[in-house]
Amino acid sequence: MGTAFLLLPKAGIGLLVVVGLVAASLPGAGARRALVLAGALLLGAAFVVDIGLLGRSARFFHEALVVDRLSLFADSVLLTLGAVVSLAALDGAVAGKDGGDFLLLFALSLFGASVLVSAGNLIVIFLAVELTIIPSFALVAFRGADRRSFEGALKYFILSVLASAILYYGLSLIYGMTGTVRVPLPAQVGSSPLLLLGIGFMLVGFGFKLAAFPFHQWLPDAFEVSHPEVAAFLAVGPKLAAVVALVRILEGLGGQSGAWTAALAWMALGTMFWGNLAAFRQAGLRRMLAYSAVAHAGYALVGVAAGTPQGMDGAVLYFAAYGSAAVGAFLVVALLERDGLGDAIAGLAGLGRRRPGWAAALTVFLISLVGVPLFAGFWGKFSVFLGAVEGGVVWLVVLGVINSAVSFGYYGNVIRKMYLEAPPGRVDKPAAVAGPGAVPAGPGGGAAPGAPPPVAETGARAAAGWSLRTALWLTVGLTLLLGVVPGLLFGALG
Amino acid sequence: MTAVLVLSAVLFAIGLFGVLTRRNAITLLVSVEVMMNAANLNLVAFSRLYQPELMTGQVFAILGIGVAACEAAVGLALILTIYRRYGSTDVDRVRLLRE
Repeated sequence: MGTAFLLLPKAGIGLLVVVGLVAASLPGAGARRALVLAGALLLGAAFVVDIGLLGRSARFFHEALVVDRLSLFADSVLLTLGAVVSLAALDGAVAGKDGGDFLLLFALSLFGASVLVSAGNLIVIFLAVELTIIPSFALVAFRGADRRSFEGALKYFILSVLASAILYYGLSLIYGMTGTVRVPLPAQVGSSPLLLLGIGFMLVGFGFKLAAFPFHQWLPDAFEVSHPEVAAFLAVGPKLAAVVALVRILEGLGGQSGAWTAALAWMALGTMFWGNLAAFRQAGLRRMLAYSAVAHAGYALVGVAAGTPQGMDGAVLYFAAYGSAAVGAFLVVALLERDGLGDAIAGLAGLGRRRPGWAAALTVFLISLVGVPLFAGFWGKFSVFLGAVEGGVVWLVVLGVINSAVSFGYYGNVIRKMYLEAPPGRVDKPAAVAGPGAVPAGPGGGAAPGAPPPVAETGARAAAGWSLRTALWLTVGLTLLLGVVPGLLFGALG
Repeated sequence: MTAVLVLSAVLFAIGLFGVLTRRNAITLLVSVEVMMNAANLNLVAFSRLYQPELMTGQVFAILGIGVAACEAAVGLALILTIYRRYGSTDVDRVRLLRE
């Protein structure tokens, strides 16, 4: 076991689980905050170690765990994500009375994702998928004060366990028809109908996890009711891990572009169109971002559907490139929410003047999500589409590019609202859309005469603490850095 | 062998039918468990067919049963909380979010 140090990044996440266990048993809020901060630093350190390990590979535990370029790359993304989300949660989910439990559940889910990207056989894949999603049911339900959070969690739970059962059945058929649980699947297997059925069931299972059309219904509900930090994590972490696992399973079948490539291509197409078109109709920023997360899983699936190594790498890289912007956008939602500005897109009018920093950050994220060159998101789309062209599915690339252009419609609308529209002068209009509890804090001259608006503003400023803002500017920096120096992304993947 | 496969397919279909037609959250959970047991049956049968000495399928099935128990634990906790709040475990009645 001279290569055991390759497991250090995973050990870091494992240690975070222990930190979470300790934090969950601590009554004091101050000590809990310190532990969460320590956890974020721990993940940062693990990230540095992970970067240092790039380029190495080894197999552990009778090939049940594989550490290679894919898993090291994915781990680096997961560790960054974990550090950013724990920082962001410090004043949000962690501040509540069950804050320690939040860290524990989050750490477990992150650990599952990290095992999933290294899974070397079907058993580990299934266990890691479950370890990723079972804590996430509780994470979605974590905002117990909001009645709806349980409803979103219940929908997420039922659809997820159904998907797990289908995935499990599919994996059992694949094992039965190939006689092995090793991944990638042996390439020489014939196309027996039962094997195809097994692969089909498996794709349905992964489709649910990735929220690909037509299995995406759980995602907008879960994202709308959970803490924004949780939504940020779910938009990137489990999906990245699921794509890596899917790539590993399908790698062996790469040569024979069977029925599964066609199925995946249609899934990708439906996901892109449905996500983008539904995002247009949303009045809330959160729900719009949720549907856009659906659409982005579709772009990544384009790469998997191409069936070429470049396309598959592109799909993995996609989540890293898109992730910084998606996480950042949900952090802006968290800031707006804590500032009492609510979630309605209509309420964003004039944000460019009221909160220039947040508006600028959100603009960077949205432009990156559209896929404009020199922003991180562009390189994700670039690599996916390049791989798809090489794989010969040009029609899918054309439709993907059209989708990107369409998506600018709703992203651009938000940017236009923030900079070109006057801030709402009257309080009643945004309040009607934002729902209960959201007090729009207009600048000075609101409808309410006297002192209340400025007081609410300073109080909210204090509530949106430094850690959330640090996390936000980290993601902004990452989005810009990866956009200008894409070599960091491509180099890390090898 | 064929008989076992047919039995597991029937179990899977029964479970899926239950998920699609029932609206009670607990019945849904039970239906999903039936589907998972269909897969367990498959795994054990295939394992006997291929490598009875390796027991790969058996191990997979045992771990799968453990996972099903975890799902049920989290799920029942969730359903219990929802029952306390809404007074019902009917998934159609628990509806505040819009489509």
